[in-house]
Amino acid sequence: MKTSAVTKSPTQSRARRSRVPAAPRRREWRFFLPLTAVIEGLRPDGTEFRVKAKLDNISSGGAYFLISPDVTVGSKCKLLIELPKSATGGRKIQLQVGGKAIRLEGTGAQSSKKGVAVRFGRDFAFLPVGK
Amino acid sequence: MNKKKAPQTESPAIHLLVYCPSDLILSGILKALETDPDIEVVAIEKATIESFMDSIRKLLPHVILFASTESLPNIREICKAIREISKDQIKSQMLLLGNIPSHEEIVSLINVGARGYFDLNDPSGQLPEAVRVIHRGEIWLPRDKMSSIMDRIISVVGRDMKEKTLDQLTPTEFQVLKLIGQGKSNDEIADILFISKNTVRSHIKSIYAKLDTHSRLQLALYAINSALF
Repeated sequence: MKTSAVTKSPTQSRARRSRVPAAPRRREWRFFLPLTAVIEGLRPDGTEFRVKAKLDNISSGGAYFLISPDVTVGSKCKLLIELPKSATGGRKIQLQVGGKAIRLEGTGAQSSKKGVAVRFGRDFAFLPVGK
Repeated sequence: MNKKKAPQTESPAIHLLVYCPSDLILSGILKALETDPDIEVVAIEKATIESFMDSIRKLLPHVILFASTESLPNIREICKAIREISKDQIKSQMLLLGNIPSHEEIVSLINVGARGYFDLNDPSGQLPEAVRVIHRGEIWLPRDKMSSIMDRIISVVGRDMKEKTLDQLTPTEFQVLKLIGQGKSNDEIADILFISKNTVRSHIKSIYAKLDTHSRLQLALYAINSALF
């Protein structure tokens, strides 16, 4: 069968150009933890947003979640992750961690949400809630 | 809904349901399958995921070819839903078609119920064989990605073994880990466990080595994960 009409994807073209084998992207184990988080950040127009989201996965290097606001690659954001009470001895504790959006994924025409991959910065803090 | 009449063959045809919102990709799929006598395309869904799910329930296809640009979390949920639908009836095997660059994500999709992945860059002539392989209950992966996917699987298995070493932490190390998951500082951990700060540091160093990490946040995530599952 002739496949010459099939165009190469940009990914494939990039892969052909690159002679250097890619280093492993992740070192730390990712946990598929559906933790509730509040995401705060800035839209490209400079206005602030604060939305609730459920994390898809998380590691110490970053997290992935779906949100509606127009985040762009490079947008700074802060995640306030609600920790499950079973892990905190019944206390309400948030894990606060800042990061930068490094990858965006569309979620199809029916949804206005975007998949956002965030790389965490070095600092994080555990904050008691309601004090 | 397009239909292609199955030719008369000795063995029953493989009933295939195609989900593909893109006309361009769909025409490529149908072209790749049109000459194959073993495969009967029983339905083509292009509209919503809901109507696609209804078609699975109604038609109970042998193989589902899912070509979509949905986000990975959505595809993961769809895989899980299909696994649930086909659990009690005929087992529909799912072949994903797309352009997923990460081997890790392909493995995670197979882990939640997909039986194979066909890359958009793969030769279209291999598509009928991929459908047959999936129908036999085997897994289809692109040949050029197989070795790196195997590397990933081996690494996941290795990591799982390391996760099991959570059980091999000493009781005190496990307590230290749990307290790290609660956001306690080394000083607080020392106070709670009536041990010195140096001992806490020594336990943490040992936990880092056993869990193969060097990040306190990662330790907290291990603790949270172990509390949930």
